[in-house]
Amino acid sequence: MKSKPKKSTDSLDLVFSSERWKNLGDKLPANKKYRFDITGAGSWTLVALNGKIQIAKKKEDADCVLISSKEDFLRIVSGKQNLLTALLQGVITTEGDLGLLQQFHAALRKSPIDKI
Amino acid sequence: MNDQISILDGNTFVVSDRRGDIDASPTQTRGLFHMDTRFLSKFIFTIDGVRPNVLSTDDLQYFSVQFFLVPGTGTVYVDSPLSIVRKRAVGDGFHEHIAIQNHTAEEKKFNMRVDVGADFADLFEVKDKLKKKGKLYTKVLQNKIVLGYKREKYIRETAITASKDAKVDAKGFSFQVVIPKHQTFEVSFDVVTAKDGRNRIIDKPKYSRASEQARPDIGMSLTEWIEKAPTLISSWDELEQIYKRSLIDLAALRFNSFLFPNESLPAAGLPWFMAVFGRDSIITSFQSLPFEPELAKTTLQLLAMRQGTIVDHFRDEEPGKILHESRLGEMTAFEERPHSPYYGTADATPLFLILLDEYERWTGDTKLIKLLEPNMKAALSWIDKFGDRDGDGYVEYATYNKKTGLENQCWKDSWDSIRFSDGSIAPLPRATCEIQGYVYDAKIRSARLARKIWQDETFARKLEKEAESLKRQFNKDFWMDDRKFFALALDGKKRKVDSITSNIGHLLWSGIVEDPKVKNCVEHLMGKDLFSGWGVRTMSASEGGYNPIGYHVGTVWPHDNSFIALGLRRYGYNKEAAVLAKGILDAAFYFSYRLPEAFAGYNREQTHFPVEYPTACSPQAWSTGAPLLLLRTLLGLEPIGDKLLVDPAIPKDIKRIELLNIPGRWGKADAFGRGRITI
Repeated sequence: MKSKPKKSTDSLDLVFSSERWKNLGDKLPANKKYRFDITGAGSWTLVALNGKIQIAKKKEDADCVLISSKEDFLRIVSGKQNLLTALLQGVITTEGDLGLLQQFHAALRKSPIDKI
Repeated sequence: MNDQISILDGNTFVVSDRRGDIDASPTQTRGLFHMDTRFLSKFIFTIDGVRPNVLSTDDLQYFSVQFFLVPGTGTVYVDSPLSIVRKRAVGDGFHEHIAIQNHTAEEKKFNMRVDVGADFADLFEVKDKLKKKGKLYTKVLQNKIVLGYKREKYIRETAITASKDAKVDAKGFSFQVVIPKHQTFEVSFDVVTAKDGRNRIIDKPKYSRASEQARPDIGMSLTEWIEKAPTLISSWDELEQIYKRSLIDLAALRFNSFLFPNESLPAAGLPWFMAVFGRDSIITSFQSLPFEPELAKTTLQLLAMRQGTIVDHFRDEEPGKILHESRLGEMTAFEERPHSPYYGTADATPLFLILLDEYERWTGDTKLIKLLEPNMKAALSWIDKFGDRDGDGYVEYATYNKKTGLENQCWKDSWDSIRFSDGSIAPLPRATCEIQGYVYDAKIRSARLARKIWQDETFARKLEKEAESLKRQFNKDFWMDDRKFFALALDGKKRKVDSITSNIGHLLWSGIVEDPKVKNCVEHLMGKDLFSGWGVRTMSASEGGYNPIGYHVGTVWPHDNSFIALGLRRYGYNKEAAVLAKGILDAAFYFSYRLPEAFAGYNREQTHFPVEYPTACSPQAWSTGAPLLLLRTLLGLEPIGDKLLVDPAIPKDIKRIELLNIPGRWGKADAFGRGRITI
């Protein structure tokens, strides 16, 4: 008998598989690719297609890239640290379209992942 | 006379003295500023330890400047043996080219030095005299000095490189200069905002040579910008000069947001307010619509994108609210100030709706209106749900951020602007009268868009009904029947704040004033207590709180007057509008055609020239826009369907005004007017 695959308890996996992130589909611009490079943990790519979010753990070219430590990333997505002030402080860095980052920031503020 | 020279490009600007030197004290605004941070606070040029004297300064271009200097003190009997020309161009820092010419038939030897320094002050620290929390450092390299600042992961650096071999120490560059007879010594400096928080490396300023043809960040060049604007021809030469100055300053104040580097919108003013401001950007865009409609488009898009999403008391943010101010300096970064962005404004949201409608009326750009429908509905929802916080039908304000929030969230945003007639300060929350006017206008205009663009008759009727109800109630609750004007505000105890102020002029602009009350308002506005001869004072001279050099309690603000004049015309008071327009335009002549943020409220008959307000920003975007709106008012320009209505009401003193190639939904149109009004 096959054993049931174990559900990941890693906080990053919890974030990227959370229902709230899946619901960002109508809040983010369509067909724009975001990538999150989390130091020491890997890269995740996110894209909104037809109002639905697709997230995969892979490194692809993206329109907007956010580079962060795991700790800072979790503080940001949980709403404990403002994304824009994190950027100004040098806590995170970005590449690509900052307008897209602003849209991600606005979407995230409405739907923080407050239970990690 | 203004003793400082400012050049700017996007969100980078350099403020120096007329010699070109930057010698900032902790509280002075001189320096190289970028992203609300002073990247250079010292840049002093000397010959044998002495700062040269200035002959003249050429700052006709907003992004570059030339300083013509001579060493020593000189007298009329002794010709200077040397002359110095400093050419500077701003962009990603600045490039400076220095040429020293030997006019004599003998060799000249001297020590030339440039002292440098950077305090990396946040503009808030400069303004509020605060101390830094991180560490400054300096690296001395070959012909290069790197000045830096570090606080945790926050790092900012300025790199200064000389083009010739120099003796470099931690405080500057020294050159032992030998110039043969009739020859010239040349050296240039690249001052680069090398680390500004963005993930990019900048090793050169934008201009490799200061004399090179300018290529500003902000889309089109100055020449293209001016050529694209309508042409003004007038029998009054000064008017043409004022118009030209306004266009140049408006071009200069175009601001590239950190988040939207490819778009530009008007920043509020130099030096304090080179930032995105909801109210100022909207007002300036409104004033500029007949001339430069693209500014309104960018303003609307950017403000919509940054519209409030959640309730956040630190930032005074609420869903649907339009932002007040966005800053990028250290204090904002560490959340010691709430400007990331800050939403402490009660009028930007209705003004956003007003601009949206006015933009469509002029341009016919229904695509943008359709795109921004959710933002428009969110803004309308904010007015009723959050703006009117106690359900009395009026938008009122009081900050939730007691520590660093704004006391006053109307355009008169100094702490002491909302006063009773006896001079005492009105308690919070305050519902100022002009905000209710804006709300009325916003709802009437939104109803028009709902009907025309979204074909939503039910929503349009609902908005019109709400607007009419507000007008009825406002004319009862704010009217002071004993003194025949509208109260400045209702205070926290719903008492009428009984000072007479320029705010009643904005009520005329909004259309909220019932007809029988208009005449009284006009008599007050044009009476000796409010009208100084140059313009309408922010507060009547008869009030207890009046001070002719009080920021919002007695000075004359050009932008304020431009909207009052438009309001006077709205109700058919064409002569009064012409008097006001002429008064403000006359004042511009005394400020070298550039209207400042505000000037003193002294009587024109008393001083014969407008007296400068001590700390006024100049150029200030909505003062730059004031002559444009006044021109529109004098010519009576109104879009009616797809046509441009021209209905001039021009004083006889200005014999003729022609405005050619006015852009709009009609393509291009011309307007002509003759001075027929005796004032």
